This record gives sequence, structure tokens and C-alpha cells, in this order.
Amino acid sequence: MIFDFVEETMRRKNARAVLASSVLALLGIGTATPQTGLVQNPMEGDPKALEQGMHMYRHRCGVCHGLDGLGYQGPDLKNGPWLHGDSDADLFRVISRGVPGSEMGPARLQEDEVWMVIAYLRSLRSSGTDQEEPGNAAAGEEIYWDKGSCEQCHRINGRGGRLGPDLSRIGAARSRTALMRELRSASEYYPPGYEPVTVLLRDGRRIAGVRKNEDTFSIQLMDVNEELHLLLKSDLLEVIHEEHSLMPDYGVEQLTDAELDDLLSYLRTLGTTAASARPVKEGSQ
Amino acid sequence: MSRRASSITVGGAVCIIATFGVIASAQEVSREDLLDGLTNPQRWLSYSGDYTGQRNSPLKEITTENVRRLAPRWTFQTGVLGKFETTPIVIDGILFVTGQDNHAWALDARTGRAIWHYRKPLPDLLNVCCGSVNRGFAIYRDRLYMATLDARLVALDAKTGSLIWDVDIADPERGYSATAAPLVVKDMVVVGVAGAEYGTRGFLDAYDTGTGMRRWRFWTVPEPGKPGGDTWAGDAWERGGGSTWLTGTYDPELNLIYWGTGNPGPDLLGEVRPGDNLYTDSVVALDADSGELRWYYQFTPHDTHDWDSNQVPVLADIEGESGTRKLLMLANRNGFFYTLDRTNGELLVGKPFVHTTWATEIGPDGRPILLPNNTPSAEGTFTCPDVEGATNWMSPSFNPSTGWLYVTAREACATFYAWPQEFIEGQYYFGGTYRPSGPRAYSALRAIDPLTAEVKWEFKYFTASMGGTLSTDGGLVFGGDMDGNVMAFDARTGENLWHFQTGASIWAAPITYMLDGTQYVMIPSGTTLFAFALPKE
Repeated sequence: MIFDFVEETMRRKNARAVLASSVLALLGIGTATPQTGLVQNPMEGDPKALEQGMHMYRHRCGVCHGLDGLGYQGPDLKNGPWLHGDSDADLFRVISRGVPGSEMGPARLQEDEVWMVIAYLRSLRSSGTDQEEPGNAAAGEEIYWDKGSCEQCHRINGRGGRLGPDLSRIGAARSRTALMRELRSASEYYPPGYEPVTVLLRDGRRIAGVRKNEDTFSIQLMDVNEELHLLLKSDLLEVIHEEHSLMPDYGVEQLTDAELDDLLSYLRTLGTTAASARPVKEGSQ
Repeated sequence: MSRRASSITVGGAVCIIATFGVIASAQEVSREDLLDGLTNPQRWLSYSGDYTGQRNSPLKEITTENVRRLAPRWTFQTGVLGKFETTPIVIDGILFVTGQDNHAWALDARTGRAIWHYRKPLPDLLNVCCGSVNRGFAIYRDRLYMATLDARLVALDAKTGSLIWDVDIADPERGYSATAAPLVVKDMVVVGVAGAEYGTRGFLDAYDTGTGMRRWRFWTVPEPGKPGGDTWAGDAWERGGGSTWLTGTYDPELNLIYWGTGNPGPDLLGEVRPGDNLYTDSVVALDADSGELRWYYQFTPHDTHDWDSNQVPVLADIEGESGTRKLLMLANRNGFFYTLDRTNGELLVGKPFVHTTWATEIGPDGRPILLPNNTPSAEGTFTCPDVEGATNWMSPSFNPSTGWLYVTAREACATFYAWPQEFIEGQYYFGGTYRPSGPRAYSALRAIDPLTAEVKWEFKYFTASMGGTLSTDGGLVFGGDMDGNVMAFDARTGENLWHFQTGASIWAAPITYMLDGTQYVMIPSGTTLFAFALPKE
């Protein structure tokens, strides 16, 4: 009977979570200011809770964060930084309320289910590694803005193109593994709103770009010059859903492994530090 | 009543009201009214409109010629977020509408203005796998019947919305909930449950419409020693699933209730429940008076893909080479279309209506001939259809003139994962997960010949959709899609004749009714109930 949980508007409460009201009050949900650090997971170390938390995690979180927690479209929770706090209260808040401005919405779990997930995340974390990522961020920054020509399509803190996704906080949103995959095999991946599409109009014009939206009767797309085209399908001869993203693959010919490490190192700073913005060059807008 | 009307004599007022207003003296709904179904086009008295589940209205004011002029007449905003899956009841100018989170309303069917609003408070504990939805009321005499999210059955006074009685169906703390519109049969209200994702054991109940006392219960998962009990191992039957979360149909001549049953539990992990797992993923034919099983047909033995078979079983009598056959049609979530003899459950037709990778045909013994490598695994196993299935709760419709069933089909695949999971009462018990895989998913409205399973035509929807269909004697089929389009098609050719963007995903099926000589077409979308009609001359 299940239906896609990402689409769901499940309503879940749990009277069994005796701590719930006090927890919510402490977290400032609905009332007071959060007092992080004052709340502890009542299920910490409970093997059954941990196992149930694993099921919850895999089913509700695994699509974005990876079944193994190593990150997919969402951050690496096993090895990466927990940017929004790592206390039990922080985790409870992030899971139950989501991260504003990101793709992560409220998980809509019952309170005890949230605690189960947190118990599992901590066990996952304890088996993670704390290895320093290779690469030089400063060198990667140069590659990004110069050799890589990434700015033609991507925007960081208000600077750059708009055809591709804004990367201002990509370091927080993607694992290193995911970023590497998306660079080396860029043409195989595109997030919603950036699907490559070509339309053939009845007047003979051909427009290539990324799809912002589409249904049975209309399509809204941005062409490679960032012009929006709002079209009725009755005016089109054909809509071609391209197999490959407009972003080229960055193979070893374009970026050596060392350069890739540098670029990844730079991208991983974006959204994770206050200094990730680069001053706008004069006349570069 | 208008100010002018109230200022004149009583007799005059009556005259004015008759001209400019409506005396909405809702007539009681009798057993005969329910048997007559959609014969009175001012009414839509049950989830599917009548006992056959055909969702075919005799109305033909709106035709293939004029449907292009169809336009919104009014809207009603519920203000309640979530999936709006209801089918309204219509009687004598009043609409009875249920919404998410145990809300319900009575509306003026001419203007959309609310007459009353009912809400049953939700308990703190609530396990619902798939949204806080409700799919509609049932009506009998002057009472409305609603199954609530917290697995209760309430009877309301249709005039006021006030509560008459309120009985337990099941314990929500164990994972039971209720979302289906009940079905009134004789003086009983038949209602099912949801909760197979929480290790519950499914059943179908019948309650006395007057007192709320339970008349019978049919367990969809038999206990050991009962017929079918040997299709379960150990104590797996105790949490075997087999929910009954969508409204069935009824044949008064055979006195049989037909109801679809849901997935076995845990959904994706089959190794803990070896066997066919009867009567999950089946249609069961029950004696209406006793609830006893007369026959069953299991579509997906030992399901490991969450392919509930709760789809509305559509009943029709069709002329064939050997005379009139009493048929039951069901386009199944597992990707196959089936036609059965509804007197005995004999399989007559069983063929895929979407791309399937788990089976490509049904064998002579009525069982699917399985293809290898479709069992969910820790590494992930690719299978079509996906979890949401080739179709789902979205109602099909059947037009007796064309003889075709109109089905919202989904072409979608997924990678299925499974892993061991300990059962804890009241906790989610799915045994794995899934993620969309393969080619981009989409939907198509398909016209299917029930005698051959041949797809006579299709109209593709861009996005895989969960909106149902409505057929009319105006030669039309109406449908809705996930992108918010409500659409009308030529029932014979599939040509799209009209569409309107409602602005939110459509999760329900349209209905139609006549009021003041105007045919309305109605569909819920987002938080809005839309009423369409042809422009006034």
C-alpha cells in the first residue's frame, strides 16, 4: 500500500513518547528558544531501537543519503561533517524539521522513530573514518573559475551562470564521492529542473536547454542563453528528452586526478565555511 | 432565501423559492435507490456511483461536441493539506465530501458553499503508511457513514453532520487505520481497514446501519486449520497483512460482495512467510449476509513487491460467443489485466497491460508464470512495475456502449531491496525499501477490451499518475493526472477533447451529476473541489 514517502504528507504523533512534549519544548518547537545540549536520546544504546532506526533510516533517508550513509544526492552522514550540529537536540531538530533552503524537508516521523534514527546514525558514525580529503582547495578554486569554465553555467554566491544548479552550498549538500561521480560522469546525471531537452517548433526553430517543468500539454525550459521559453506542446513538432546532460564529462583529459582532487577540495568548502564566497571580480558580472 | 422572498407572503415565498432557490429537502436513501445506482442522475450515492463499480453515468448533456466549452462553475477550498482522494456523495442538490485528517463537509452543490463541517479529532498515536487520506462517505436513509483514520466507523446525521454513533473497527495502536469509503449493502455498512505495513492482519467488516453493531467479519488472512491457513508458515499469519483499504462492489442477484485485498506483510521480505499467503493480493467473493467466502482468485501469490490488489473490481454482463457472461474486470497493480467469471472466480482473461518483468503470462492453472531474478535483495533487484504499480486506487470506468474499461496505467520500474526485520507491534514492518529505476516513468489512459485484454487506444500522460476515470453516455471519458490536468477524451478514439490545469496533483476520480438541468463534472485537486459545467446560455 505504500506510496512514495518523499511525496507523502504523513501525520504522525506518538503518545508513547513520554518525553515528547518536554523534548519539543526544549527544542523550541512551537514555543521556546532551542536549548541544545540539554536533551539526550532516550534510546541511545538500545539494540532494538538501533535496528528499528536502521530500517527507518534506509527507508526514509537512504534515497538521498545512501543506504550505506555515504551520501548520494544528500550529504555523507557516515564520514562527512554534521553541519547543523551534532548534539542529540540538533539531530532531532534537523530530522524532524528539515533544513530550510535545502532539499531536506521534515522527515515526518514519530518522536520515538526520530530517536531510533538518531541512535542508528550514531552507530553508523562510530564506524566511519576521519580521513583528510586529498587536494588543495585554493588550487581547485582557480580551476573552477578558469580552466574548468564552471562559472559559465553554475553560480556561486551570486556570481556565474544560471543554466546549471547553484553551487553555493554544494559542499554541504553532496558527498565527495557524489561530486566526483557527477564530474567524471556529468552527462549521466541531472537533478530535477535541469533535465536536458530539445524542442522542435512548428516554425522550424530548434531550442536546446534545460527543462524547468513539463506536463502533457506544456513545457517550460531555459535555453543555453538563459532565456526562458514557455511553450504549448500543440505548437511543437517534437520534444526530445536528451539522454545526456548539457554538462560535459570531465575526464582525465580535461582534469587530471590531481586537478580533480583540488577541484573537489574547493567544492567541498562551499556551504561549509563562511569564507566560501569569492569576491566578485571587477567587471566580471 | 432572498430578502425579497422573505418580505412577501408565505405562498409567494414558496413560489419565489421554487423559481430562484432550492428546497434541499434531502430525501432518504432507500435500498432501492442504492440498487438503482446512477439511474437518477441527480445523485451519486456511493464511491463508484453504483454497485457495479462501472463509474459510468447516463448523463449526456456534455458531449464530444461541446466538451471543449467546459469551464469551472465554482470551487470549494478545504484548507486541509494532503492527498485529496475523496469521491463525494451527491443527493438532491447537496454534496457530502470527506477530506484528509478526518474532516468532512456538506456543501450546496449549486454554489459550493458549506452547510456543515465535521471533524473527528485524531488521537496522538496514529500509524498511517500513506497519507492521512479518506476516500468518501457511504449513505443510507438519512445517515452518512465514514471510516476514520483512527480505524473507527462513524454515523452522522446527513442534515446536520452531528454524530449518531461511533464504533471501533480496530486498534490504531497496533497499526490499523481506515481510509476507504464504506459500502452500504442491504442494511449493513461494509468497511475495510489499512495497516499491512505495520504487521496487522486484515479483515472486512459489516456493521448494522442502525445500531453500529458488527454483523460479520471476514479475515483476509486465515488462521491455521482454516481453509488457506496452510499457505502461511508458523505464526506469520498473525501479521500477514491483506488490508481492505478500497471500496468493493456488489452483485445483488448473486448476493455476493467483491472486495480486493492488499499485500502480505512484511511487504518486501518474503522469506519469513513462505507459501502463497492467502488471501492477500486477491479478490474475494463473500456472501453478503454472512461474510462467508464463496470463492477467491489470487492475482499475486507470495507477493514481494507490495502489489496490493485493492483495485475496484468492476462488474459487467457482456455478450460473448456462449451467451451473456457475468464478468468481473480488474486491472491489477501487478501489471496484469484480468477478467473473471464472477459467479465462480474462473479466470477468463489474464494479460499484461503494462511492461512487466516478473511474469509475462498467466498459466492454465491461473497462476502467473514467473520470470527469474525478481526477488527483492540486499543488493537491490530491478523489477517492473514499481511499488506504486501498474495502476492503484485510481478508479477505472467501464462504458457499456464501447464495452471497454478505461484504466489509468503507470509505466514505472523500481529497484527493490529487502532485509531481515524484527517485528515490533505497532511499528513499521516493511522488510526493505525501493527506489525508482529504469526509464522515466509515465502514465497512459488505456481503453482495454475485457474479452481480449487488447488495448484499443491510449493517451499518454507525461507523469506517472494516480488520478481515476469517469465514463459517461456523452461518449466521454474524464481523467486526471499527477501534473494537475483534468481532461476529457473521446471514449471511442482516445482523442483529447478538453483539459484544464487545476494547479495540484489529482489523486481522485471525477464524478458527474445533474442539477437544475445542468450537468456538473467534479474532481478534487490539491485542497480544492472543482465543479465544472458548460457555460450558461
